Amino acid sequence: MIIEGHQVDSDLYEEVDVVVIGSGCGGATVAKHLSEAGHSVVIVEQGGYFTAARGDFDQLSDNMLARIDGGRGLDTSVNGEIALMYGNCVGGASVHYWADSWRLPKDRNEIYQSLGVTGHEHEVLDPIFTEIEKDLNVHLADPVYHNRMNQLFSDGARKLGWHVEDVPQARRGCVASGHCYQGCSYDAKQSQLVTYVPRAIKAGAKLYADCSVESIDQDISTGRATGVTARVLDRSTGKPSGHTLSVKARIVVLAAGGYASPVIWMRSKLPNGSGQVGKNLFTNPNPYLYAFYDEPIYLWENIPAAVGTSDFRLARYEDGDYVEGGYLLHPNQIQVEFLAATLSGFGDDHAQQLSRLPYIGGAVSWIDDEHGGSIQLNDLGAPEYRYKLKGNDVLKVRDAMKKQAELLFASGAREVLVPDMKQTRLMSPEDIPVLEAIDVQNGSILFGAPHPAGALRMGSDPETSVVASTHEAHEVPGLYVADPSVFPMQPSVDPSLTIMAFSIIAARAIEEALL
Amino acid sequence: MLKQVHQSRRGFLKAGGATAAGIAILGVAGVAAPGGEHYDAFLEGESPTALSNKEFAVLTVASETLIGQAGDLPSVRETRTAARIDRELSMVQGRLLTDVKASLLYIEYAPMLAGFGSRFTCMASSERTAYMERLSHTDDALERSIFFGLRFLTIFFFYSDNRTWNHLGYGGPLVDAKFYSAGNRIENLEGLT
Repeated sequence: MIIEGHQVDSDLYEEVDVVVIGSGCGGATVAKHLSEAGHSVVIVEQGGYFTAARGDFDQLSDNMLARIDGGRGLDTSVNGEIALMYGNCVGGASVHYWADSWRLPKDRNEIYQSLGVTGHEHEVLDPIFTEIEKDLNVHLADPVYHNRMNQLFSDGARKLGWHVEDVPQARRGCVASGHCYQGCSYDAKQSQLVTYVPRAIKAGAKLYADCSVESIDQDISTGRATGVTARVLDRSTGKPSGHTLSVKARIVVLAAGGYASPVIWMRSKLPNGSGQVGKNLFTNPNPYLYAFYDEPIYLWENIPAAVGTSDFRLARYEDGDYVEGGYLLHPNQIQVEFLAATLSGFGDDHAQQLSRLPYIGGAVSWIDDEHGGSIQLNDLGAPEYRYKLKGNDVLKVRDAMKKQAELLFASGAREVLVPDMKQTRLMSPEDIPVLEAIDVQNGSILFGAPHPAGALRMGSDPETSVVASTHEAHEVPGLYVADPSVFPMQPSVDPSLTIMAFSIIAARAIEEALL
Repeated sequence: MLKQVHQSRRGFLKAGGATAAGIAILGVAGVAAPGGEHYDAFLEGESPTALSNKEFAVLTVASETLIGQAGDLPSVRETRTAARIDRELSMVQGRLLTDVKASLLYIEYAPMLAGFGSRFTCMASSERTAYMERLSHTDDALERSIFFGLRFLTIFFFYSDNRTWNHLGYGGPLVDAKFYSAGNRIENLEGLT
């Protein structure tokens, strides 16, 4: 059963085995697993419930940002350097994700182990990934789904001698509309909205949409988590409706996502003996370049990234100095309004440039960032996200842009457009060294930041981490965290499958605790 | 012109608001252009809710400068771009609203200290473009934040109006639109008075 805010006309009280905060890749996975195991589960989701059947996914960027995105799609870090991209709807960020579905690479898994994460080893995760891939119909896309930019990307990469691979896709019956980021109008993208949320509901879970968790409640004497208190929201205004939802539970699962879970922790005034709550915020900032081609590209059509290259996933160092890499490199896909807003310039020149929009292609990278930012609450209790590119991450951004420019020229681009404040243009490969010196910090370029992680990090030592490898908080018995906040560093690939796999391990630990 | 060295946009905008407020005092003393009636003339029937009439007027003029003209594009007034941004700000509130307000105040008064001799809304079109050009290449983090923040909002909202899509070569959605009561489209706006 899914109950929406407008259906609530009184204060509500629930008493269950498990209450789950959030319904994205982490929360929905835990809820599905535990409800199918016979436990009573309530899911509390701050965002609204939107479905293709009702026609909610109308492919209009403005409408959809308001419906499904956290901060209505307009949140940035305090310094304006990164755009905070996260979900605020039933299904969470998976509703707007690209459906890229990577397993956690073994090399990164080994680093996690070296940082104190146990019970999530490669051989443990392997069968879990297989199960998830089956549930989400993860497969390699047929060539018919390779849009023109994907084809050009493959051509250019091969000319440069780079390995091109198909990117695993969580889709079923994709119609190639290209409106993935606005939420799939056809229920083809296998987001949590159409996979684990309905399976959890079918198994008896109850989901409250439009409910904002005010606090995780604790037993005063033991410190144990005992449930949550939430406010019901009026979706048409975003403000409290006046009704509350109280859930008493044996187990509380915090799964509101990498940007929101640490905020709920801090607002609840939960202990922070390690000092790590809200620290180590990694975001996968994504540098991108655009380019003019002689032929129409239509950068907004079909599957965003059916192909890519992992040749530069791992950063390479010599004698401790950064040399290259530390990012995935993919063809870009972007809807017209965002393309217009992220192309440099203004006024008549900008408007005239947009008349050639169909001829613009592009590439994008996801930086495996090493230097985390932080989340703090201001005097009003509102979150402030502090994130600044620095150190090797600046070098990775520059290197990613150089590789993108090489690829775009190799694939036939006539002119490469840098989305920086100086409106830098590259007219040939000989201009690529210019990228060594352009300003990429302090808001000169607005980077998307779609993969928040790390601000409630996992580890064996309560002095240096927030949650144990069971996903239970070191200092709050009965509270489990099941989202990318627990990652000690980025997975180095799209995190969705890893979030789900980790959450199944969390669910197994919770099952044991409920015995 | 202020040359800030801090890294906090929030801090910058507080400084910007204070600076603009200081310049506003000069306006009261008669140095600047006229007040209420001057700004009301830019409203053209719009009734802003999150922004003041003055802030809305500055946003309207800034939007015209940032969007420019080409081919068959409609105007920012036809698309009610400023009104849609005002509607969005009324929904999102918080830091974005206070940042935008401070930014608009800065845009209005800072040109006086940058050698342009008048407030932004009183400048000729070519002067506004020149001032924006200056902002677009600034190394001052406050001005950079103001310029890019307003630029993103204006361009995103303008080009999400379906009358602009022909210019972009975009055929539009493949499904029917659905009205969203918490949305910010032109259908969500009150009629012009």
